[in-house]
Amino acid sequence: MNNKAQTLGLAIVSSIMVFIIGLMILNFVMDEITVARAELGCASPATITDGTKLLCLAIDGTVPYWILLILSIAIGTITSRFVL
Amino acid sequence: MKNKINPIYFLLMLIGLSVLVVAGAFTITLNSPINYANMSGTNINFNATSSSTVNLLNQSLWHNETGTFHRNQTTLYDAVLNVSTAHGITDTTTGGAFFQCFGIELDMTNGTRVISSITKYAASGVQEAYILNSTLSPMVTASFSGDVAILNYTLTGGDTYIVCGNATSGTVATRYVGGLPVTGTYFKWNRGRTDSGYDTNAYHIESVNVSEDVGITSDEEVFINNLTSGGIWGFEACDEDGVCGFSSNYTYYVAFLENLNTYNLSTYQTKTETFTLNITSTATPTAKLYLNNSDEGTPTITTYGGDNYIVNTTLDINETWDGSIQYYYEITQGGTTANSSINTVTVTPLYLDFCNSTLTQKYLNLTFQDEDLLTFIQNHIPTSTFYYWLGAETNRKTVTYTNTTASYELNFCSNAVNETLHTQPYIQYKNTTDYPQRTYNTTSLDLNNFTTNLTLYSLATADGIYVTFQVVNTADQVLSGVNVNATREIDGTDTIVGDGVTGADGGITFWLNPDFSHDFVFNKEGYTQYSTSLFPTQTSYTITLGGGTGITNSTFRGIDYSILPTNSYLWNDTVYTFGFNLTSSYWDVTDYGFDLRLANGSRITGGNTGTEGTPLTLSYNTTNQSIIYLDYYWVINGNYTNATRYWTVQNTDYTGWSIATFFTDLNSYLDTGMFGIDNFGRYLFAFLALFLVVGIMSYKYGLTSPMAITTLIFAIVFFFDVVAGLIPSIRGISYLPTYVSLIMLAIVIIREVQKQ
Repeated sequence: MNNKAQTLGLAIVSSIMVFIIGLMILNFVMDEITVARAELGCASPATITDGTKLLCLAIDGTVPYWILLILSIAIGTITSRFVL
Repeated sequence: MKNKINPIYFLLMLIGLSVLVVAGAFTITLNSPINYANMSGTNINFNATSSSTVNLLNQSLWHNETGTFHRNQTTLYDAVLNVSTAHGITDTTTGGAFFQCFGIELDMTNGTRVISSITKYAASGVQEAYILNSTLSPMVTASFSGDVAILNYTLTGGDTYIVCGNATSGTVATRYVGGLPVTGTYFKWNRGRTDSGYDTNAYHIESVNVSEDVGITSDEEVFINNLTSGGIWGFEACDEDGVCGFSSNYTYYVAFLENLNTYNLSTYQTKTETFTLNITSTATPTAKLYLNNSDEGTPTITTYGGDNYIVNTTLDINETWDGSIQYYYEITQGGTTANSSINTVTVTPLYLDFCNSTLTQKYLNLTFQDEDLLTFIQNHIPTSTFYYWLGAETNRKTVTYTNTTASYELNFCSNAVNETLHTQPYIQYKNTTDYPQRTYNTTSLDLNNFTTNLTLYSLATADGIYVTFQVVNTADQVLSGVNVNATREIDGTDTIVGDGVTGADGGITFWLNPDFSHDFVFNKEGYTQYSTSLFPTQTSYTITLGGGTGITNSTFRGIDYSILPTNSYLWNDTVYTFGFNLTSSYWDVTDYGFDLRLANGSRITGGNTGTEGTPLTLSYNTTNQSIIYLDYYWVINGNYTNATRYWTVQNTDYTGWSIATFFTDLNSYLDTGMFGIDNFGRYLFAFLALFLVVGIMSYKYGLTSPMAITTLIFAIVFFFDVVAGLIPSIRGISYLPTYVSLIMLAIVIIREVQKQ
């Protein structure tokens, strides 16, 4: 087996690890997001301030951004091996 | 230069103002049809209310159906009459012995007038009121009850009448004080219209001065017209001073013309009736039949040349309808809807009963005979049930009779004159001491005015035996609902001596004579009819009905079942109705049912039944279950068949973190005006995002071709508009920016293709 193939295999394993660990961390975050949204009253826009709304939007974006981040890292880890 | 008013202008202003004042004395309101109404051209009710400060003289309908706006119909509010006093008239026909009449003479020159009552005022000594004709003959006489005498007599134009009372003196010294009547006798009567409380006319008698006291200043009038084309209409009203006013004009359209309504004016319950409407319509119509304002469905519409259509509905008159029912068609054509005229049908209740004083038309005559001796015998009827109808069997009436007194014959009568009355009788008859009970049960017996004579044969106790027939299928399953009849020749005629349907146990029992050969026929839908002849000497026989070739014993044969809910998956914390229903066209299913089973193995009983077609249901909350199983089964001849259906339960707790939540919240926050951002702000942000993204992509990655930029624009607009829903609808049109960008993209693509 040549060196490049070994490096690619390592990259795939690394990206899978990053993906799994990222999703595990996400599991802890999701409950906190639910609590935060409930505490802030994000579902009642008429009763919260504009600042709170901004905070709610930031919280809403946490999970999508996190998934985007771990996907980027995982895919980037693999694709970087093809860059000369 | 000082402005001066031209006297001529001033005079014209005064004239105009006076015209306005006179015209303003009238208020004419057009009530119906509404302006720009689409209608049937038949029986249009033009309705308006006119009011005036002066008593109304007449109201008229104007329209321009003929091309010219003209007066169509007029209602006079008072008959045209001349009034004069007529004192001291002595009845010549009785030589003056009858009465002396003091009253007024009315010369009816036009119109009609109903004098409903005459009222006397104050302490008049008048006891009776009369209306005499021109020959002084009394047309109507009425005594005063209190101050009122009821006459209800119509005076017609061209005749002369005298309205009077039997006063003994025609002189009254004082009639008026300050213009008001105070003493003496005077009469008042309705002005020809009995639907209003104010339309009273009063004339004084016993005085030279005759004057009208009360008039009509406001009234609603309806004119009914048949019109063939649209146009304008309006109302005119005139008062007793000769001043007339006119309403504004309304526009109406004739949506279709009714050429002919065909229906029976009267019918019976359970009869099938056809309601046909022949119309002329410029566009292909659709229609609905409304019966007592209830939607009775869509009729068939056929064309027969040109713009002519036949709207046709065949309807079963419900067994519960009674009295007058009204129907009309709602016709929709060319995007407009209008109703046809309303027609009334009288529904008579349908009866079939023992003949009595009110029900005399004999339809069925029942007699009883000894099967062997052919002598007439007396029987009574422990119970009987008659299903009877005129149209469709599905719309039938039921009646139960019992006759505890033994008699030689029974007569049944009906009121369905000249109709064929379909019946399905079930009659149990017997003679308690000598003849065991037999049953007459036939699926069809048609009766009419010509009395049907039906002889029911009984067999003496000493001459017969009870014979039971057990009917099974080829799988040895008992068959219920099999029609069985037993026939033997009596007095040279094949006569049914046993008729009935097998019960749930597949059996039926007849009282038969074992000394004679009988023909038996066994019949059930889906099975091959079985016929046999035998001397019924045994007490039981087993009959096997074949169901054709290729019969298998699969427990799924003929089984049809349904399961609830029909969802492919369920949501947590939601109540669903779980259910199982089963029917079988082949097997007799003895039991079927279902249970719910949870992931932890616990079971929730759903229910079971042995009656096919009985839906079994159970409401159950999914709570936090992850999967729910529905185990269902059925039992046929001891064979147990089961299966399972399952649903996964989606947990809403795990659906709250998606990117959709972000945009949902963003939308709702923007709707509440977050940071003062309104719709303009949304457009601005969308434009900035579009501008920046396209700019960056062009600058950084060299996307400069029209196709690439247009595609990018479309993608971004699509995302903001359709996916995220951030762009508000423009003039009520949803996704307009997306459509526009899509069209732009299509144009660019077409241009690129054309360049190649």
